[in-house]
Amino acid sequence: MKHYSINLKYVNNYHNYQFDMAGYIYIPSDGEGYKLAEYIECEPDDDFILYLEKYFTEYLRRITYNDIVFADEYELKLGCVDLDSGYIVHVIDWFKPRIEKYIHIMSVVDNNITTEYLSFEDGINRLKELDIVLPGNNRA
Amino acid sequence: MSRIEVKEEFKQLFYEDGRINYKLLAELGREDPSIFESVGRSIISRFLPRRGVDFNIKLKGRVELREGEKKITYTLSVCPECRSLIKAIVFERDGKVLIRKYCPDHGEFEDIYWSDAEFYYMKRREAADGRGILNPYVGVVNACPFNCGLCVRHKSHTALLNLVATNRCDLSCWYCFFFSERAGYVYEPSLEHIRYMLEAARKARPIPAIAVQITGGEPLLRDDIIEIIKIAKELGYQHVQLNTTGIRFVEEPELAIKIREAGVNTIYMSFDGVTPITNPKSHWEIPYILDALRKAHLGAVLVPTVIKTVNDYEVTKMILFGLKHNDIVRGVNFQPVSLVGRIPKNERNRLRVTIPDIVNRVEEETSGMIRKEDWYTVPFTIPISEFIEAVTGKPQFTMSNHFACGVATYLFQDQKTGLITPLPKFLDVGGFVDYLKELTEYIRKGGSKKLALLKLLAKIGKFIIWEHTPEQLKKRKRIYWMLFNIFARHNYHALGEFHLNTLFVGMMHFQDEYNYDVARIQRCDIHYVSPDGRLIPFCTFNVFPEIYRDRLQKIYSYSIKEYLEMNRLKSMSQIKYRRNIRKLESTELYRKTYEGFWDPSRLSYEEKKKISIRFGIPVIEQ
Repeated sequence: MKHYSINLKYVNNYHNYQFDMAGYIYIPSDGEGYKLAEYIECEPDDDFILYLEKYFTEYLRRITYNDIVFADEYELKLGCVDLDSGYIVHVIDWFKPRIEKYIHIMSVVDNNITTEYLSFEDGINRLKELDIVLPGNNRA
Repeated sequence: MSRIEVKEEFKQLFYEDGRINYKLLAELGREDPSIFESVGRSIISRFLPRRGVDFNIKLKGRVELREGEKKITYTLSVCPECRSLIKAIVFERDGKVLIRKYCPDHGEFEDIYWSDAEFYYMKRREAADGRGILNPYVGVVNACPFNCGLCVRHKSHTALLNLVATNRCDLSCWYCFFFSERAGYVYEPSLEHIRYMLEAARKARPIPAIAVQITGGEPLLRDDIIEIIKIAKELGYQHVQLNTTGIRFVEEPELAIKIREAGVNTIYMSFDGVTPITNPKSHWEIPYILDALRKAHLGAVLVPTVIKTVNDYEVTKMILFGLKHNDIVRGVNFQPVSLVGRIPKNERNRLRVTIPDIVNRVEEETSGMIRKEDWYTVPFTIPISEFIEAVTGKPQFTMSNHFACGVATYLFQDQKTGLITPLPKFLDVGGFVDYLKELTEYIRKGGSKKLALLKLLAKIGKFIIWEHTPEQLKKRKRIYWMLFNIFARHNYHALGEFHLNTLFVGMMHFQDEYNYDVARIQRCDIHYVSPDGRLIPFCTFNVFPEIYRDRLQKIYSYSIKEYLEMNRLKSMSQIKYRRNIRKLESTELYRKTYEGFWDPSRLSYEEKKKISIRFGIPVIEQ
């Protein structure tokens, strides 16, 4: 199981192109949850921009269509738990383009990826159904 | 070409080299047109550009500014050497806007973006985004611009769809690599295939394509061109435009009547200047083409490709030529040259023209009659769409290009005095659009739509500057009633009437690998429909032909041999145009068309012949 949190700022609009990424990596702490292991600040990896656009552009537009103008200015905090069972859970705090909290559950089984984008409340219920416990008792 | 993995049921359709047996596909498509979609979707993933093979992503490193430079914006671009996605910066230096990019493997590249920083800042205020598309045809697999089809990243719906009807051409211009003999294959989709492609673009949501340009090659070489036009009309395309040299109208003027009757609204044709030196492609034919269109009541837009030191000194003359023939010429749409291929920096500087170069030259050469502030960008019209959307509650057709892609204005010429008045001189366009924004906001906040409309109607007159309004539009307050009809009664007949009396003058600067800006590509609203049903922005389709245009068309093509056999031709050169300069120059029509612009006695016959042959058009004496 991996657990990390990332602060991400991605701007790709008329007036700017900017990509800042900084985050924390946590490691299990003797059955007592997780402890902070490392703070990282990095240049974007060539692959990461594609990853970001692949998952977040689509996701963002699905949840905001007809609601906001399509600005590509994201600021978010991503808490990620990568479970040995094949589930990857993102708890996402959006700061831009608007303040929202969502849960993104990905399941990787035999290289087939399925994803669910859910509101925070629906996400917590879905995690319970799947019997997934996040660090912090699903309070993310 | 690599082998293409296809579904078992379609394997019989493919040759060993990966090309489709197009003759067989067209035959099967006649019986069951759904095969075009099935085949297209089954192989689409193999057609998409592949990372590591067709492109790379190299975002490491920073693009630095130097002393005396001011950052305007960061963006992404491509490396002209290795076609990788790389970082770029748009910045100001010495009153100009430039783009600089950095490739970790090939170093720095710099080019001019807009030659007038003040004009750039002025026009940037008009920037606005559209809404993109709801039903993307391709998923997000690659980085932009190597994922076109369209995908969810795209911010504009299709405003003008391009349909390539053939890559055959009756000319062999020296700079063109697109036509069949040089390409080595014939791309000519069947009628059923064309129907599928046009339907695919009509399925886009929330706004389906409503305007199509049939292009080529030379689309008039297709014997079934009338059927193609009729299919477009049948599918609901409101505006059908034909991109042609028009040369076929010289020998067959009645063809213009037939295509107008079939549903073509506008002829979009190349016109690079008023002399044979600047327009060797069609100088001698233009008088006859315009005459054929005049008799067919079919309007034309002249399209000059502007190149510095080659024909930029004639831009104002081309506008005046358009005004002289305004009974049939509806517009002049300049295209600053897109520099294709590897070109050294000095050479680029010699040839490069950007939008402000043309705007400033026209202002200077008309002594301020057509001013810099008379030009508006394409997204400037978005508030008008948003207002109509707020009133009707339905998504509206929106032209949401990047502001740096193009500008336009309308000119009105007084028939008695000859005085030219640009529309913004007698209509406070900025004030009018600001007021529309205010009303849109009022409706969005729950205000009454009826009241908003009444307010608008009461105020329309205040935006008209009567002292500058041309006489013809002043009479019986014609300009007022025209605006009233458009906004109150949604009567676009009035708009059509206005177009008949004005000359549209626009510019559209297509990109090349040196000035490429991904922010522009994501907003492009001029798309090509590809044979597999994808919609591909103009400046990816043509700037990366190896991974878009040529790749797709080659797969869906006939070999030259196949085509010649099918059509019982001996060689492709049988269709080539040959020019009789003496005959074309001998008429009163030719003389009158160029009267005041060009005196044919300035060049000897031998010089004219040389110009034509050097361009690629053989000359005949009989």
